[in-house]
Amino acid sequence: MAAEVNRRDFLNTLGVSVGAALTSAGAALPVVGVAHAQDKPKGNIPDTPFKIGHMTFFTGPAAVLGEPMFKGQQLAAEEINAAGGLLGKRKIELLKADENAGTDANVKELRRLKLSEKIDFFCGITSSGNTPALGPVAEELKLLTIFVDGCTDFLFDKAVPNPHYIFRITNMQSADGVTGAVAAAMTWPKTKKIAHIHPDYSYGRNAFDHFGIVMKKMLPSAENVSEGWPKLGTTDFSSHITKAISSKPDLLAISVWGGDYVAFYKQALRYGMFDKMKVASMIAFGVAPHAIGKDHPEGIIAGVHSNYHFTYPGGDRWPYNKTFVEKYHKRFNEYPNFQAEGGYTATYMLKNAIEKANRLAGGWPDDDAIISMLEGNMMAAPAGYVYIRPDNHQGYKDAVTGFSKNVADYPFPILDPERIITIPIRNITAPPGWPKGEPTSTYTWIDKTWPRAKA
Amino acid sequence: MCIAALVMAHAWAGHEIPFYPSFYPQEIKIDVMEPAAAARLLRTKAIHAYVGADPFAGGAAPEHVVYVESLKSYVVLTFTPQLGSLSNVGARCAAGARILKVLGRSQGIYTFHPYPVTPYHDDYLSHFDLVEAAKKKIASAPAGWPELKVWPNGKLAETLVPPEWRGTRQESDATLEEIDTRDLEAPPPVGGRLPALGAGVRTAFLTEAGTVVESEVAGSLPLLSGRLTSLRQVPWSECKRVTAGYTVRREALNVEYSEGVENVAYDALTGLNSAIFIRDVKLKDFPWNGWLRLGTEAKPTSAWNPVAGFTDATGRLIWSAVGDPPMLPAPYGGDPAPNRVRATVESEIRIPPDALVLDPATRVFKPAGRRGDIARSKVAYEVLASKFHDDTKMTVADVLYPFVFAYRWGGLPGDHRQGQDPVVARSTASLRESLLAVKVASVDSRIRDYGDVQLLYEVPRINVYLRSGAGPGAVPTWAPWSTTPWQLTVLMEEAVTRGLAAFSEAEARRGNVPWLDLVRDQKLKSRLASLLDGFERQPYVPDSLRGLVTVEQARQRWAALKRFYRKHGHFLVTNGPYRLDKWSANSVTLGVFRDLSYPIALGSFDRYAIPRRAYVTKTERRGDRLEIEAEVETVTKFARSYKIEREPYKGEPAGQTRAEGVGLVAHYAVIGEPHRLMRVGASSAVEGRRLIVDPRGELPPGEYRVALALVLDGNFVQPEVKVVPYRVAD
Repeated sequence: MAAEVNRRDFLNTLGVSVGAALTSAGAALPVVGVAHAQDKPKGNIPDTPFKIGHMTFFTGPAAVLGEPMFKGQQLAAEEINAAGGLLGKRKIELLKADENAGTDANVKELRRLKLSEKIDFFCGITSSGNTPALGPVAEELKLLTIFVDGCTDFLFDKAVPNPHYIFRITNMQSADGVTGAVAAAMTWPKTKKIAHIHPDYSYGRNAFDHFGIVMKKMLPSAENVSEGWPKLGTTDFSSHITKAISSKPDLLAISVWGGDYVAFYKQALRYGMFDKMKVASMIAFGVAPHAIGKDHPEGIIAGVHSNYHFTYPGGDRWPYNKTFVEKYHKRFNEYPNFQAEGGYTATYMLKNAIEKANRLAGGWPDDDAIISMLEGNMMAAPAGYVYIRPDNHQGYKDAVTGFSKNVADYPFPILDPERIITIPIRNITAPPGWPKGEPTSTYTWIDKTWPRAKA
Repeated sequence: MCIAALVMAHAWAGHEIPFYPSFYPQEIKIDVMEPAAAARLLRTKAIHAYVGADPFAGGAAPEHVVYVESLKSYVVLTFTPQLGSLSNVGARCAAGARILKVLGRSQGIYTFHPYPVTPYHDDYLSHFDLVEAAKKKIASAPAGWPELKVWPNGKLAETLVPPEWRGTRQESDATLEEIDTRDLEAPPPVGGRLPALGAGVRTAFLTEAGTVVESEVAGSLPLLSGRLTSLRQVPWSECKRVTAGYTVRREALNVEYSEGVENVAYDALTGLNSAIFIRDVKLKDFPWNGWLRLGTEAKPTSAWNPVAGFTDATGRLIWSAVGDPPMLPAPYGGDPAPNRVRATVESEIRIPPDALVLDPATRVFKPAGRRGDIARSKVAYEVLASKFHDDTKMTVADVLYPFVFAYRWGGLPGDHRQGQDPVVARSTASLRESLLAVKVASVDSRIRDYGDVQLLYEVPRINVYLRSGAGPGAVPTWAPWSTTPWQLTVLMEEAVTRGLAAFSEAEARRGNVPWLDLVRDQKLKSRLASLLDGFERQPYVPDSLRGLVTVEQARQRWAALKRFYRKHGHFLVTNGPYRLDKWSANSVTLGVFRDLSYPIALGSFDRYAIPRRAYVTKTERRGDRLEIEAEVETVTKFARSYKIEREPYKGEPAGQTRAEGVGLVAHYAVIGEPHRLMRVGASSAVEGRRLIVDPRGELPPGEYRVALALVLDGNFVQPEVKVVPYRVAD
């Protein structure tokens, strides 16, 4: 049985901070961008184009995620090409494919891209329905791959438990629920009654599970008083809203996403729901900055996805984000979402690994040399430090959430710059060597190792 | 079963499920209002669009209002035929040319265009030389208005006819008037337009209705392959009616950052009053979902029935959301876009013994047997089934019943017995003339896999054997498809058989019975409910569906229809993307049918939003080929807006797979002298940055002109036509 601790000590243990600057990573790290002169590469470098197959959603509802993902990679490629290309010689050529074609077609397209188009590198993917299907194929094709999203824990827990060629730069899905719960427990520690509304498929279950296991540890006296599970395709949330309101909760935990979330909050406003309880969303701001209206209520915990919102780290606090946001906005006339940051960072992560491998052996490095450089790589990206764990090829960056706020500078709400909540990712995810668990490794790790806060 | 199965064994769906059935808005409210009221509501951003006249005509629209433009009307001059001085064709044509010359100088919303095929039509290129010739002819006509009185019928005509030449309807030699293309294009919902015509020729023919007979059109069909460019040969009405020009419809859209809409597609001929508008429009404040508010100008006066109702403008808009056609008209020209069926064509096929032949007299399907008849073509259809709004699952019986219906109410060709409906007869004529047999080849299962969310669909595969020939253009305008369940069709038939109502307005007038309205005729609904009780008690299975529907299935169908009526208060059950939820005299609310069995997802027709154009910048002849350099428009989307830029065509991006109908295509028409259309064709061949066209074919030696137009992503509208000389040496 885990020990009981004081809640403040508990938060200190997790390293949760509000409005904090990023912690230092110590030694000089690779960074995004090519502002400074690069070292001269060793050996002979071919000048053939470096072909990247980028598959994401260019049509359909998920294009709101996919288009920025491609733009992020496009921006990085343009910067790298303007500086001469990878290792100063190989210009990046992007080949697009629409993920909306369906999983079977996507698998075929991946094979075609590798076998017919001879791509050197595969990137992209938004849907968690696709990464577990494409991951094994990329391994079979020996195709170096960085998935930008497709965040399901299932990918590295089950589908490709021992990856060699594939990596993923987003955080895992479980981080959404854990982060939302830690933020809610820290902000509203007197919460006793919790209502839940989650989509009735595995993301909602995942959010519910991980929010719940954290609450069990941090607010053990709190109880769930209502559960709503809107089916996929629900447009009328009134029954879920009234059910939650009638249970008189202190807190609503919600993981409804995208257009469903927008329909939800606009209906909830009519019921005065946000005046009747606190609200912690796992993913309210997890689409694109412009996807949320100004009428969105202020002061709720508005979760992001993959731990990035373009306003954090803000101002001059973290130049790589400031520069990235400025360049992205100048190039595409919009603000980047987490996918744009992911596409951008993935490209620079690859560039950095190629350069490291070249410095070691000279010439154009083979894939295994690049892979060995990606494993354990840490770089300063717009979102902060991103670390690729060598054991599972998963990218990690510190968790971020915050409180919704309208400011004059933007036509959409942002995270309140004064109240950003960050949590070191290592403190909320299962560590290397932790056995695979159900429903996820992170869940069993929290359940078995976290202490319980005193009620 | 057409339903999503949620399997939790592999919990690996992401937060995003990239498939949402039906289309963006979760609700569509349509209110009838005058343009002035629409202007007020657009100013306050209380509505998103106005389907009708420009509410700000003559004034300034707010900054957040933009317009979409489509072909609104023809302006035609029709001579009074019985007048002696104009009985001569030459006299009529000469007078018409002089009047058009005067009209051609008019400014404003009228565009001078003395030819019935316009730049809004997909067959414009094939008529381009004749358009130019007609303009030259008018330009060379003697100046001055002839000694004729013209009756200006309508406001626009009044602005065009000089006061001194205006006459009354009775005393005039000719009438100048507008003919709205929406009236021409109003198809009965069961389908059935003039088949396989280019859009321009079709509307031209309809414009000339009464002055050109259908046989003249049909008779010219075989002259050329491809589209009906041979309509050039038709002696257009011998100047009984002269096309003077056209007007453009401007419909207002609210595109404000938060309260506006985006991703708008529209039809070049019907504007926002189109199925494609409903299927693409997206509210800016919502990635999907949201409450769409539309204004319309026309009161919904026609009856609401899916057979021959919904004929007025508002009715058509409602039906475009509630009903679901097998194919959608391509909004900017070209072949129809697949919607609920996919078709492939084969030629010269022996009809298999187990195919079903419908006995036109008894209207019962029977096996074709071993007669070994040969069909000119077989069209293999995949039918994307789904649930109906009454929660029943679409089956093969629903797909086949329209054939029975067509013969019951359309009759045999040339058969004009009582008990038929002339509108149904007209709209099903093509089907009845070409159908030989049908065969249910299989009912397949399809899965869409989104991790733990797996959507399972049934896809009936229906082969249709036809008398008519095969080829890409041979897919008929009808298909084995029904947007209503068979039990509703049977219920309507029973009501009509009993003389309670008629399907069409014409038949209702003839029989002095109500026009069948499934929603607003309370008396009829009560009678339908009684009939429904009787059918449920039996339970009734039509003879033609025996073997396809069991008694238990029929009982369930009748019970489901009854439940639907009790819950919703009307009988308008379809399998379309929106369901009628509320209605009053001047307002309708449609709720989205987000049922997971609905197979078409929001975003499916996004490619039609923001139509792009392309331009020929240089042509060079090399051997028999013409090599074309071009500029294309590109769209950059950002946040809630986009910009269009023109840039040199760089060829097709490497490694990209392309959906059908997407990309750059060079269309050409080879014209000999004098105005002889020798060849038409299209090419998407690309070498480097150049499109390659080979117009040579079997052309005999001589001097020709090649008219070139570029079509980008299926956009045929207002092409910039480039004409280049082309010589074929001896």
